[in-house]
Amino acid sequence: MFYINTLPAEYIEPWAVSLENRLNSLYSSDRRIAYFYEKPDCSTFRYRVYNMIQTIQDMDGISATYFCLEEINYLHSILDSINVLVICRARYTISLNSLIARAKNKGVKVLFDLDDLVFNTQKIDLILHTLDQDFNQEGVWDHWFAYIGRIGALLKLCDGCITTNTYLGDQVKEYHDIKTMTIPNFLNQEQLAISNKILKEKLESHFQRTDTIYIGYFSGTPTHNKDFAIVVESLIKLLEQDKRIRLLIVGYLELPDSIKKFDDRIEVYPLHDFVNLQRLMSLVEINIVPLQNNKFTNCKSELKFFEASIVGTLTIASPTFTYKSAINNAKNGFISNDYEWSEVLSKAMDTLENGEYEQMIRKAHSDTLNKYAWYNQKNLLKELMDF
Amino acid sequence: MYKIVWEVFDYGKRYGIKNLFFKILEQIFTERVPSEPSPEPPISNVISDVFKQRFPNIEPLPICSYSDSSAQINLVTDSLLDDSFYGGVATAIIFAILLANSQDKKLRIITRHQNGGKDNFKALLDRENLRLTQSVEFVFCDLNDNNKFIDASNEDLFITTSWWTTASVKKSVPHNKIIYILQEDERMFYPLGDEHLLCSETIASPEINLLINTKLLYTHLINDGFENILTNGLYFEPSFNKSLYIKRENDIQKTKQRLFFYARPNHARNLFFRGMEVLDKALQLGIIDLELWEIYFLGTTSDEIQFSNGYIPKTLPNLAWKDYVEFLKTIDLGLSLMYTPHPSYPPLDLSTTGSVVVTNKFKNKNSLENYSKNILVSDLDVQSLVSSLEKGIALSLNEEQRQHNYINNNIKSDWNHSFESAIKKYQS
Repeated sequence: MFYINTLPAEYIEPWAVSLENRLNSLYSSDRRIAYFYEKPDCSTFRYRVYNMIQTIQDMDGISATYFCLEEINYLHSILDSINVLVICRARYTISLNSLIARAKNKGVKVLFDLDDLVFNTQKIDLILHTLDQDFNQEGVWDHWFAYIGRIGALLKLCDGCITTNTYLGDQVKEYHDIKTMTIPNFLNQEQLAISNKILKEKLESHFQRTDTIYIGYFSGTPTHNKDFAIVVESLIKLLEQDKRIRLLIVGYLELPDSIKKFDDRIEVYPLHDFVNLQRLMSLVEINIVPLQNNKFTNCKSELKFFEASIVGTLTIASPTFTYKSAINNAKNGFISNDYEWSEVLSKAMDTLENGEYEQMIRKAHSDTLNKYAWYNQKNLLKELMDF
Repeated sequence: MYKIVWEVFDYGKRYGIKNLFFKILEQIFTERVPSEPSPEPPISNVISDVFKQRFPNIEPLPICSYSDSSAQINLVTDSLLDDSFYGGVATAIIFAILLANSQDKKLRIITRHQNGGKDNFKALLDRENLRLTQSVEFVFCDLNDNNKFIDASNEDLFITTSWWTTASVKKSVPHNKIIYILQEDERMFYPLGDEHLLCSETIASPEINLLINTKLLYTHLINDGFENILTNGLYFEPSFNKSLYIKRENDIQKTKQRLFFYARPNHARNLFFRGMEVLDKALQLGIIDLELWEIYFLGTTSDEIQFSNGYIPKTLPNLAWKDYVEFLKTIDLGLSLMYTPHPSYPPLDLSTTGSVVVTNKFKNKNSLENYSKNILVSDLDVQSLVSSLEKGIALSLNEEQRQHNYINNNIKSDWNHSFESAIKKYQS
């Protein structure tokens, strides 16, 4: 584990701003983008709405803000004042249908924003299979068909779609012939501020660490049992062979029975706010991102790579579409096929001994800044106006 | 209460006070005797449940159809863990990899009994220098889990590895999409009974493709009346990667000649006890000279066995594949029995290292000279085996002849060649 002196930060949700202030922000420029998201949260909303708005607000001549479901009437009332309306991963309702119809009639461009393959009911079997859902529960089918069907219905009403990567964009086109553009998930100002501070510490101390080696698994949703299962066998082997190994698990995960015998070497933490999550990630030597490889997981973003890289932690990920393109194997992280985890984990641990770790981290960090820092997304976001 | 009082009164009136007293004591005593343990919960007697409980392995593979599943090559087997990862499973995996690569499709390995074993898969790739052109997915479709489904497109191919995986898959997918890799006359695993019958019926399935390990087994099955094999069967000869078996004489430190016995008492077909009888006789007769030879038991037994002359062979049970091959390189003579038509892998392993092997005849397995003249095939009676062992010892010590035979071995060493015709056939 790395020595980090940066203390946990007091966290206040940065998007908890009054509607009045948000409207003031929106009217601060002539070209305006309104985002709609049902209810702000720390996952999709943060990456797809909050981060976008934060970056747009730092650009000249464009402004943006968000509205949630309970503010839909306000949104109706300002349609005349906006240029673009972005509906982010929302479920169909008649009032949203009406909002979109009215917006279009007023010449407002209406875009849908998606970060997951959750709009095509023909993919439900695959999704449920991937998420390890109970096929025998009627309620499971009712929930997922309704959820995905409603998102798909709303998507079809929009003029275009923004996706987190081109693979997802292609899935959208296959479902509905619509124009798409890619804006990746990226790091916001708060994430970068704490991460810069931590990385500086690591560099100054030459990555000083304890004798233990922590492998971190950061699970944002309670649906990763099958993903974690990919790596369990190798983790058990490693825990058996090397007493220095510890596991640090953050978020939702049902630990398989087979690994529970190492309880005393597994630390489990609840979900953390996104700022303090960066600190937690910085403590571990190796961040693992095992993922099943199918159309659903290939649509997922590479955020676990850049969140770790920015705080100087090395990542090993499965070769899904985005991780394969973000990670230059053995240069800024590692890619592992399902059957290679034991070998790749050992290789990653070797980098701690042979001095390659710091070199790889420097590369991963600079790649991350170039590709995933908020200030490097402005050109892309500018394209939203002309989409 | 009234009823009890009346019964007591009535008993006393009929049998007297003394008998009534003893009756009450008897009742009290009887009630204090612990009751029988409660029986196991009743097992369902519904016919479908009865079959499921008796033959869980052949329940239909639970498949489902996703709207856009792309065609994959599937391999269905029990487990990839060490205990199961013997030659047969490894052979099937190699075929599955080559087939998937040839069709540029994803490979999916479905296990039904146990999860895990990916490290074994990786070790196999490395050892055979194989690469996958597409990805591989490992799915544990537990026989006991009714929430597991395998998505299968109409174009999916299923490679099955036993009669029971075949029987399970054939209940769910078109039969012509199944390639059953048959590596033994599996009927011989069973006494004549339901399993034997089900196994026979599975092998005789008319539309299933059968890919049979060795021409010997192929011919034996046809001779035994499986006419479907004439139309839907192919055979292949297994490969033994020579580079893995090359002896480096300088690395071998030993003071005596080494005799290997393939000792697997829990595998009836390996004739453990016949092999012991033969070794004991050969020791008694001085055919095995302990001044010159030492005996090693490799296989699954760790029991120390003392022969009539007091000699106790060394046992090396359950070696990992790599250690097993390394040890084989130090062997001069093997005794490896197989009470079935298949030559089995140990004689071929041994002759690839340059050793001499004694094995047994069975039905059409009369000679294995087509693989190597260093493999001696004997009748199964003790005298014949002892005599063959004597010949084996002589051949083993005849360096020139042994080397000559070794150079002229005709054992395949490239899996691409082994499966060439099969891959061509299943391409279409």
